[in-house]
Amino acid sequence: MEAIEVSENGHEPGGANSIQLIAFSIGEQVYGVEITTVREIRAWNGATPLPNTRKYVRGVINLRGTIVPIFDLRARFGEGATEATKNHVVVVLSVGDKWIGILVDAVSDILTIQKDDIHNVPEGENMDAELLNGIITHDNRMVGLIDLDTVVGNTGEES
Amino acid sequence: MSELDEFKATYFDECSELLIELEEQFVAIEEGDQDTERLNAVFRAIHSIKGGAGAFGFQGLVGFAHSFETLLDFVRDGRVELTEDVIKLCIRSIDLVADFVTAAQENRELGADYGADEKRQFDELCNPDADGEAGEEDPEDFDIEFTPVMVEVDSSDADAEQSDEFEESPLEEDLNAALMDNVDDSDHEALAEEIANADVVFESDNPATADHSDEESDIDAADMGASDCWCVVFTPLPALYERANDPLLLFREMAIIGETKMRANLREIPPLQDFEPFQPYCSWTIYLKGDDVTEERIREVFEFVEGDCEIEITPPGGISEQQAAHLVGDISATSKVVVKPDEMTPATDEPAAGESEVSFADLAGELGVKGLGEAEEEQAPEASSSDDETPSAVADEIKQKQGDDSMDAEAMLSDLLDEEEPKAKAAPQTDASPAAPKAPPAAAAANKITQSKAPDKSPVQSIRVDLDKVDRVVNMVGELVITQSMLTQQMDETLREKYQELVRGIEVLAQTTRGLQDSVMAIRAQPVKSVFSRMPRLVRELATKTGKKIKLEMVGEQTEIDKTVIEQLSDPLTHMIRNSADHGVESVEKRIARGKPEQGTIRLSAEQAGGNILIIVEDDGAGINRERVLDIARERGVIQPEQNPSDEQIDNLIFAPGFSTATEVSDISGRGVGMDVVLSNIKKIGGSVHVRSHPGRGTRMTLRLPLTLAVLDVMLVSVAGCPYVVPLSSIVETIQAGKADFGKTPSGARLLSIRGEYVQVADLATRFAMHTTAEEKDRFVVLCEADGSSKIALVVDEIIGQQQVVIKSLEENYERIDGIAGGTILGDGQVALIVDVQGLKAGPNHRNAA
Repeated sequence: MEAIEVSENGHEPGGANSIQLIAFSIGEQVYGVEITTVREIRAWNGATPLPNTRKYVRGVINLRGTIVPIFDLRARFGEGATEATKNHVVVVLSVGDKWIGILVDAVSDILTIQKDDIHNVPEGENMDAELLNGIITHDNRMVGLIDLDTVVGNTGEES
Repeated sequence: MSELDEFKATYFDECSELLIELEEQFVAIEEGDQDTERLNAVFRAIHSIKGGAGAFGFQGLVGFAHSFETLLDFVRDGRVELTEDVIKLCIRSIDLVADFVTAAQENRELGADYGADEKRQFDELCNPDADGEAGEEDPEDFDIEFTPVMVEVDSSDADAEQSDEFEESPLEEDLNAALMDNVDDSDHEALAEEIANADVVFESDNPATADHSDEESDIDAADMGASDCWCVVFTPLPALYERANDPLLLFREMAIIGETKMRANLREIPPLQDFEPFQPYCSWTIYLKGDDVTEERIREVFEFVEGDCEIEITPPGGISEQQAAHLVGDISATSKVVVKPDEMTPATDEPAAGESEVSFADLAGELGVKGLGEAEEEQAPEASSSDDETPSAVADEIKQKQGDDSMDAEAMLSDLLDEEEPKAKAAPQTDASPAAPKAPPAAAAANKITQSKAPDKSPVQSIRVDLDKVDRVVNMVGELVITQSMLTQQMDETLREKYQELVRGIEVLAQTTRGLQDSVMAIRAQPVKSVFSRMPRLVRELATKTGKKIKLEMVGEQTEIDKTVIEQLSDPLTHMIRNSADHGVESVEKRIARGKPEQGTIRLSAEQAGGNILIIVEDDGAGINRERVLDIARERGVIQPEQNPSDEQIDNLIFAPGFSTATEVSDISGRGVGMDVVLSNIKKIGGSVHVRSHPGRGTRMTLRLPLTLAVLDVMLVSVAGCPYVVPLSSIVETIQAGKADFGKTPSGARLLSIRGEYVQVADLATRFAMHTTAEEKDRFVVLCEADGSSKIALVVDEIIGQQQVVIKSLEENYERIDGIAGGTILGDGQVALIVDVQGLKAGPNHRNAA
């Protein structure tokens, strides 16, 4: 299994006001998480399913001796479970004091953005406002900033 | 000052150990075993706590411990009778000491009058006739007694500290003045004079009135009747002060034995430029008179500073009239105890001459005096025993011999002292060397003991190791065990035939690994005593608060269990005991009405049962009021109204969160948080709780805990293609059951008939909501024992084998999952889930509750 280590302290060319994102896609839509939270990116290699738990948790994997839960981001967004293949990617993130993995279709890019460019999520669907911290535009495309705390938190759909 | 913090941490560690010991000793004493050795142990423990506290400047603790110590001392020598009340006071005081220690540890101040009541009782007990005078004197004493001695601070602080010290102590102030005066005074006679004048004489008849004023009274040694004086030369080593001992206390002890005259020998104090602040330069000569003075009693006084000082004891008969007169002369003319050159043997002069430095000459001179003194003391018994010869002749001869011996030795010492910088540690070592050549004649002829040479106590049998380090080893051994079992799994028949040596090697590896694992686990194992020992206090407090009479019995405190488990045990045990004391044991009136003994009993026991530790809290109280529990459970919706739980199920309802039968919330219990804490804590460490109640007769709560948390023997099974492991410790047997063996109850639950016994069934596939392919075929059944004798049959698709696994937490990165006790990593890197047998047994009802 190949794992691409991502440097925790990726240099920030834009100064204090800019942040870097790891951009990944689910279907056609691009999302991003702040690069400093990313611990590791690895190919999907299956997970041990967990019973009696939230539906969008695909299971747990062994990450060098630690058990890490994998959240299926597509399922989390209510679009049904991902049919995971070896080409799917797990992004391992640290959220608070926990490490979790999110299952996505592909990792596409590292983006450097200005904090000022972040738009608020328009009022409307509650879920959007909960799951996204904001929206930015990159290459004329919309990139949603994932709110990791909500994605991982208990507030979502229960099994 | 991280070093000081380290010392502090060690001190607090020791304190908690000492407190446990105190608790134990007093339990034994309370039961009537008033052995002096116990009292001594108690005294030592308090003394150690006080000593450390003094060193770190925890004044509140020092003050309290000091009063406590004084009482214990009085008890020890029989001046205060050890009545029940006194024992009770002592036990309460231990709790207070514990509070002081905790407060100090948390850097918190207890109120100034905390423990004042007990302190007053101490004083009353110790000085039944004393009026305010004694009381007033006490705080004054503290100033002097507990000036921190071992101060690890940077120089500026040290200086400040130092000067404080001098100012506080009149003795040292004088001394300081004397030194200051003589900084540029080259006249040694004058220096000697000055220092000699600074000698302070203590005269005390009993400790309550001990007067340590610096009055320079003429010592009237003559009325001591010098010939029946015991002479004790007390030379503290640096270690004495490092351990925060105070000579003054020792002198007071001496004063209890008999009438004392003391003088401080300040001759060794070097000129200021050579003065090492941490070096003890002062020694004392104590003349002791009394009818029942024995060497043993004197030694007892110095028992606690054994090894930290040198003691020479000469019995009264050992001093001939002439020498006594000499001594008396010394005493009455303090300034004249100066060596006359003609009294010195050439041997002593030589080393002195070899050195040109002033201080050394002084020192050598002083040593000369000392050596001579010793010679006199040593010769004495021989002189008296050899009646035929003229005492003086013998005396001369011995003087010659002994004198030379000790001179050489002392010279050696002075050499050493001067060569090396007189560091704290150097002194005890060098002191041991002069003692050696002197020892044979001294031991035989004179009643002389050099305490630093006392027979070595058995060496310390334990080391303190950072738990992190042990854990690292434990984890690595865990991984090793897994790797080893993975290797074993990889062995197939062809391999076995082909590589026999390799196979044998792997088998040996398996054994060694197992041994290694057991040893490592043993390192982490601790007796449950460390948790149990907190309980007597709890019960005492609860008994006082509720006005009930409760006795706590503890059994099996030595049972060893993993440290992590022990740490998790404290809260649940506290809650359980609290519950037993508050809800279980009835009030005295009720108990009498029911024909029970007035005093309720809570029995706390620990035992090992297979791979588990059973901790049982049992009381002989009223038992669980099932009707009430059921009513409340229905009221709060813990169970549905139509449900009719069994007695056992009702009993277990008390573990539901927020459940409380108490109509009023008392400050002891009743908020309903207690018992579910028990359950969740115990579940967290892979244990289970079981409660069994007999109305009117009492309640028994059983905690079943794993021996260790690190490695688990499991059976690997497969359910719907996913690996699960079942802890081997809960498995009774595995069987293959046909469809006919299963039956259904009206509610839809399945039962399995095993040899005529019907057992609850949990089909893991259904339970874990997975699709299984093995629906109609014969099913594999793992029969597990849940709580006590109740069983549950787990239906699985396949049984793969046994192995050892390291438990990994799911909660670390995720959350608790019903029916799953944790995760583990198999040899191939795959994660397997650990089945929570207890959780499955408890069923949906309980799942709601828990």
